[in-house]
Amino acid sequence: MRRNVAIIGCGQAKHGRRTDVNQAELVAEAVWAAIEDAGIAPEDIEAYAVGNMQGFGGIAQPDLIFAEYIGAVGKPMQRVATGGTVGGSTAHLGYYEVASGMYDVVLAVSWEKHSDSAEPGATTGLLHVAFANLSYMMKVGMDMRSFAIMGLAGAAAGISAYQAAQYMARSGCRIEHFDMVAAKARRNAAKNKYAHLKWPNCTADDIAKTEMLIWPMRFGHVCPASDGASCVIYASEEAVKRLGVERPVAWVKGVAAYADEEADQGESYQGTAVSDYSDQTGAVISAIKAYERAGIKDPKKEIDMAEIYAPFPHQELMFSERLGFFDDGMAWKAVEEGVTEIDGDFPICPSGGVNATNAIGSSGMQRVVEAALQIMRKAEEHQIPKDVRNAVAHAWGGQVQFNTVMVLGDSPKRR
Amino acid sequence: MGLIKEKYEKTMQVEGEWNVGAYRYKAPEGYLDEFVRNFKDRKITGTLCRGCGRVYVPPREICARCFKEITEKVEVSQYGEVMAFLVSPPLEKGKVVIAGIDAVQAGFLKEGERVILAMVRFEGTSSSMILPLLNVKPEDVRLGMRVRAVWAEECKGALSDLLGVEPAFDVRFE
Amino acid sequence: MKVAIIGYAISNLGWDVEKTREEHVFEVAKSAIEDAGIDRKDVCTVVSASTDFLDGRTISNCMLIGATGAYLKDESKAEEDGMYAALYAAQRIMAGVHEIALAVSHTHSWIFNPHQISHYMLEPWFDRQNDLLNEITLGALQARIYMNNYGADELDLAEISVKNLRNAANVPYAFRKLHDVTAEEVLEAEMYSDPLTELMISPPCDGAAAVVLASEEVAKEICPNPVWIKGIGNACDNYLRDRDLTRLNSLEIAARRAYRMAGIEEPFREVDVAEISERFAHQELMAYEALGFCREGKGRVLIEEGMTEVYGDIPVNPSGGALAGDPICATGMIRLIEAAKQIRGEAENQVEDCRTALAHAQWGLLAQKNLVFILGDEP
Repeated sequence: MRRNVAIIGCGQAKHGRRTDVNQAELVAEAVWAAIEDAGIAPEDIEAYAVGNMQGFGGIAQPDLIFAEYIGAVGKPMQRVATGGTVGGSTAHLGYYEVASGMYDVVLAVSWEKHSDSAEPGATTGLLHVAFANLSYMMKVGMDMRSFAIMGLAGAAAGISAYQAAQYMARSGCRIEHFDMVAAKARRNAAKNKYAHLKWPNCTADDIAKTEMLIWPMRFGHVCPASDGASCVIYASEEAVKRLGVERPVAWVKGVAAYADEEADQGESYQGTAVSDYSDQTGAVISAIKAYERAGIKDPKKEIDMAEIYAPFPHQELMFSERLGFFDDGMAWKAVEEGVTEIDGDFPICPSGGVNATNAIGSSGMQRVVEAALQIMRKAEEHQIPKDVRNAVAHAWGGQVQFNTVMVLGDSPKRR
Repeated sequence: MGLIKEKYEKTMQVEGEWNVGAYRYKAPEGYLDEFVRNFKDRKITGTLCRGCGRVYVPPREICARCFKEITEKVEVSQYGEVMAFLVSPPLEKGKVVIAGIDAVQAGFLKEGERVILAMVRFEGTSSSMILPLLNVKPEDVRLGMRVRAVWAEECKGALSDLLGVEPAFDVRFE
Repeated sequence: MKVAIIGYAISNLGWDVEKTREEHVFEVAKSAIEDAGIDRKDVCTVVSASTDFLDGRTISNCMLIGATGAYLKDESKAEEDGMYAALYAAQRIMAGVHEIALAVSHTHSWIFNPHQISHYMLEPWFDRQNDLLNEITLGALQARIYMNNYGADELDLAEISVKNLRNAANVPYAFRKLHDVTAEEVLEAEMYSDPLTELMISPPCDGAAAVVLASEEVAKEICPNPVWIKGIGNACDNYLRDRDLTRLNSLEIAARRAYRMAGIEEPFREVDVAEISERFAHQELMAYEALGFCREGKGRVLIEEGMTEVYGDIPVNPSGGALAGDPICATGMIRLIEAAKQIRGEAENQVEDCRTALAHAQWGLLAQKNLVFILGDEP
């Protein structure tokens, strides 16, 4: 018998370029907001789950430096780091800490502070995924022209551009649909006080006017590099009663994070057998397993909304199919019909999503926070009008290979 | 909320360095070496997994699917198909800066050229390589297009021998 | 829910091993799975441990999915010591979601100087501006404070090294084996930072380790001699400038939690053997006190009386500990495996009649975070 675990409080720092705080203060902002939201005392928290990608902010093991800022001194603290999914992985770690029966109340926080890096933080951090391979390739005789070409592809977030091309070929959608998705993200973000790139009343035409960075990606499609932190507090069913939490809480019904093989190239420039990046076997299996654990049989009917980790617009379309919300190749039609808008039948990323706010570590956790807020009906301006009984929070990362899926619901019951 | 500071607009700035130039990575002996050495004879070598029959190019040591070491090497076809591609806008000075060097100014890339990069899967293999697509206009590139390896005039057994791929309209299957 | 260790593997520890990261990890993952007598398809979840800095790569686990056997498995990475990966894997089993878990850890210290990374672990606003601070100089600082407070001297520290390095001489995979080293030789070794000489500091090296964990039901069915996890204690301390460096507060808290969970009241009598991750010789003395083997400040008595030798009342580090080889992320996991080996009766320096073993891992500057496992031979 698995333990029921609830999210009793959520907190976010204001995302964007935060030159007014340092990393410790940024994280503390989210943590204290969550503690306040949950209505508990810091002493009630029994354990911590933390995660960020340390290469981006320039501090190794930053959580150790500011353990005191988040009240973790003398308490258990575990850390994960899994690339883009790190927020999702931290959320999973916090869930498992409670579900294991070891602790009753656990705080999970993840964050990123890009602006501390003098060079563009995201590119420095991301280049180091392949840095070892590039050095090796130089050693076996790669010329400078090829090196420059590699850098060119890397600058446009490399493999995602191929993924977009493959998704277009697979589903028959066009760049205009990417414009529509990006415009929706900017519009929704304008209603979210924590978001970074806000553009009220943005239309697909506005996005279409931006410069083509590298086909098929426009400047308007690309996510920003934000600073931010997101935090959730988990409690077991007993603790929810003991702490007297009366406001609605969001229950974690199922989690799964199945890893695929790396795409593009493996360790030491070895070949990999993933030749279609839009295939995303890992996402499909994660979704199936998470639904199974949550007792969901028909995701199309039973799930009401989703927060998908989509730094680039094609990923929102692709993952909404991979996670089983639409049939293969049908997501772009749903976008045309406005199904995924805030007031649509199946809202996706009503918060603006990662496309409007991307603080690497925070992003995955923010998806969980936003999905929980929708269930608790506390999303304020971007609260979706229809009832939310089940919501999905997804995160994606690695070399297009990691996926974390978390199913949240308004009651702990699994059918 | 606890620690929000409203008094200051900015934090103090402290300069620091992050030295990442001192890594000593390890790479497998033999695998890629042979792959690259065979470029001298204009051959592409891959490895064949005995467990699942997948052929990996560039060669791979461990098959993730079978959780087995791969030892067998095979030569693969020079022809392949385009799995995906991307097209750069006309290159300008200052647009492509790598490790502090302006690639256009240094002459690695030509000004005004449009680079097409393709993910190529060679016949009979299960993996793909990213290579420049040459001798074709961006408008004419299609997914699934057949391509052929283009080699340097003089091959000396280095990664740069394989210049890229070009459309192979002369391939026929019976 | 109970969790048991059913299989393990430790690679050879060495400096500049002739293996890539991928080969090294593959080797231990494969042999741990074989040791457990299962197949990769039986493994439900994989948790790895490594850090991006030590590996010199962002997302250091992304290219090791094939090697760790995590392909299409529920996967995650703990960015700290391998024992934390084992903890996360155990939690995944205890939650009732998974049955069999594999935890893998590795570090190639050859890739990047670990002591330089300890410099990046300092907070960047004040401490990192001081170029003299790194793990070794801080360790010397801690040793000096400890010795000054409790009257231990250099000879006590040297005796710790002598005990551990002599123990390591029998351990085939160990990196630093010195069969007949004497306290004089330890004191006369190269001085790194007074009072710490080369032989009092753990030598960073390349290595990997893996353990297979299983739920009670599965372990009883498939494993003839499972080792049970009976207690877990975990705690984090303040950043080093804000805490008392003379004692390991967080280890004390962690140990107390683990003892309570395992039902241990008198650790000195009830624990049969302890495996400790000590980055420096003096940290083993501090650990004796924090683990409750002796009163505060009396750690030196245990080593002077020979109580922590393999034949002593409470043997500590019969495998040689971290002083015999320190593959940063794998060190704690190797301690866990060594403790399990003692219970199974498979250890090189076997302690007689061993039924309860303690394993300890540390993380952060001067053991800021500590994790304690209590292992036993029955659930």
